[in-house]
Amino acid sequence: MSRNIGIDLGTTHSLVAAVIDGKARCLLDEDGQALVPSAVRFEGEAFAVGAPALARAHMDNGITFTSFKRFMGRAPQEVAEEAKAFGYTLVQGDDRVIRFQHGELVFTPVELSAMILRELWQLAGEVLLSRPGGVVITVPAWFDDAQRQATRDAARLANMEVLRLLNEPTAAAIAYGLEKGVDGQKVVVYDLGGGTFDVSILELNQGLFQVLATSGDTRLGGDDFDQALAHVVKASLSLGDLDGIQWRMLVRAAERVKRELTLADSATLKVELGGVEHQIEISREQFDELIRPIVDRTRGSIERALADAGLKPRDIDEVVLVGGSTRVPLVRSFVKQLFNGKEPHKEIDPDQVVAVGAAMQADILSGASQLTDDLLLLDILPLSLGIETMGGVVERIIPRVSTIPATASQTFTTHVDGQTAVDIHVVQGEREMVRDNRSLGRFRLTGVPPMPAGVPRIKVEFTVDADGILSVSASEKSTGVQASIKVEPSYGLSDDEIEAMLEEAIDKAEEDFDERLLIEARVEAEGVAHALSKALESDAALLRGEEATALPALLAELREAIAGTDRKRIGGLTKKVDEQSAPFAQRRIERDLSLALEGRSAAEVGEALGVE
Amino acid sequence: MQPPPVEPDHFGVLGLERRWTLSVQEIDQAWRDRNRLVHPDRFAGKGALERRMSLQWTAAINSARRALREPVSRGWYLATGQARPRDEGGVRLDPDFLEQVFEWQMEANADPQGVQQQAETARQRVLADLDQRLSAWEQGDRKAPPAGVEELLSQMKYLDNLAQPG
Repeated sequence: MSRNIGIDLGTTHSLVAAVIDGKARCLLDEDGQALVPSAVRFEGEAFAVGAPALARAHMDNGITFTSFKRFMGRAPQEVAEEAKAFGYTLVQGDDRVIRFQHGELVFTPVELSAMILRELWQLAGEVLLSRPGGVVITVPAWFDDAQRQATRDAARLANMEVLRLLNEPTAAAIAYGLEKGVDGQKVVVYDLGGGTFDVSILELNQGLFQVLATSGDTRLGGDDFDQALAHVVKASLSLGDLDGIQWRMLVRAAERVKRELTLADSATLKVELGGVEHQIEISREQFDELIRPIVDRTRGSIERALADAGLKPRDIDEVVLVGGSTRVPLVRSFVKQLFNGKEPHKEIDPDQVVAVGAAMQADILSGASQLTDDLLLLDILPLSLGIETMGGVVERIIPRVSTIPATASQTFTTHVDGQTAVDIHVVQGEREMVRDNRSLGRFRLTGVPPMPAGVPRIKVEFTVDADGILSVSASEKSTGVQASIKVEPSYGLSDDEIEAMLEEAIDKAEEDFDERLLIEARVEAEGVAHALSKALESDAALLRGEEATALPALLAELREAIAGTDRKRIGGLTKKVDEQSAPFAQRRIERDLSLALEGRSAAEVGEALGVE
Repeated sequence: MQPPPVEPDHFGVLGLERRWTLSVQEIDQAWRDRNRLVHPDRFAGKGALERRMSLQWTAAINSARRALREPVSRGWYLATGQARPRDEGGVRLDPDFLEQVFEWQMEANADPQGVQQQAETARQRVLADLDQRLSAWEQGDRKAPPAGVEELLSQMKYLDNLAQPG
């Protein structure tokens, strides 16, 4: 039987996990990595997904998309600023679907997410040695209908059967097995990622999970720590004006220091800018003082969530840490102090905990789980659903915090004699006026029997399923005619568009496979070319016979191939360069060895050989 | 699995007797037990028809729980078959009661706390009256809807607003 899998489809990275031998674990790629960067790169028709996409992000012969989860299910007009900040060009004149433009190509966030999903699916297939079964995909607890729908659309494009969309905090609580604890316990899930912060409060009762409240900040995360440190270092070293690339190098150096400081009391920030090596010592205290105001910004969201749930910090029984940034000691102590000294759960890798929970849920949904058969997740609607009435006022039909699935029905009538169609505008949000809420879609009821105005009684039923996604059905009560409904989503792709993409994707599947291999071949070839060119520069004296002319020629040929699109040629030349430069490489190693052994200490030998 | 009834009885879908004296714990327990039977997660990977029924059932038990959990909405449901006041054609309220409400509304600006307290006292009295009548009704055969409670429930609506303004 095929095994179900759990996927954490994240903003900066994604993971896939499965239950193997009764234990949920993240599946590792061939480099031993669980984290697949949520990045997709295009170079002409070629593309790459994950680490290779990120590795070439700095090159200008293509474009690398990251953070596209931020754009899922949103309106083009509300993301203009954000798109600009990420350097993405939006296709103009479309106010329904976000499309990024690159040259002649156009991509939607849903398609990009589908590419990540496919990548994870393939990874799972390779590790599990069989085609995976159904998938559980996690989403932020605050995702609205359009965002959840977009996630489901991405899965559909990737040809997957979605068993359930699972809220991320719920997945984390499952991973820790908190449902086995005392009845009625309240759990806070504190999720600080690279660029986003979410806090959720759950109540657990006899194996039932309920999200009581959720809050957060979509522009707050560990990346802010790196930026803050980089700014301070720039000032104290008087680095003057830095260009974009230099600034990014400084931020990366700051990030390395942040990581070191999770264990060490101090660390050295080293960065080479314009050929000058700079370094500065950063202590844990300095770092903590620097980031304290940033960490403190999570407090407001936590207080809001507690207030929404009608709870005080002392009512909280368990605290769970999620997201790589919760490794920072100050974050941990801040959270602990906020909840009256309660020790937060951090036993499971905070990057992996959501995927682990998703895998457990996927396993339970197989109906043949050995983990537990008594776990049932009950979620709530994060935002109220309503319909537009006269004067642009919202009439609420399903209030927020209702347990889902939920239904509500409403009777509509006509305003004109003989009217055969009625439009219903559905919105999501808590505000009184339609314009202040999020428009979900317009439903057009057709086939209403022609009758005098006000006579037809059209009963419209709104249903929110267990994933928090709305569907609508209608019937005319006096005649029993089943009116049909056409859904025109306000934002996001329509059913027909998804179908068209799906067909295209199937047609292109084989071609796509070739195209992704091209970039992987380029990445490998560039590594080889880079190493050889450095060696030629530094050790020309070690070249023998024809090597002095043959190797540079071969290198030039390889570089030319990399710039082209012939994958087989790139692969062949990479191999050829590898083979023909092997004697040269061998000589360099021997030279290093003999240098190393000439009256040096063991430590120096190690250093000379690059052994730590 | 059978589809749920078209106009489901909130007590029935939760497997509860038609009663007034129900604790929140009893209702939640019944709701949880039903969830284990009908929730869509129990039908993941099953056929479309079964999944659809499971969805309808779960939505029905969720509505039932919401309708019955609060005593006042439970009272409305027992009295009228709807968990909220009728849209049109409800009972006529006692003119004396309406006059009292009007008076309190006039005074509310000058002495908000005093009015709140008086309204709260009145609210408690109505609630006790309601509890007494519905408990008595529960002792009987429960065939007819409870009599005389609709007016008390309508009064609650006004008193709630005055006792907890905003």
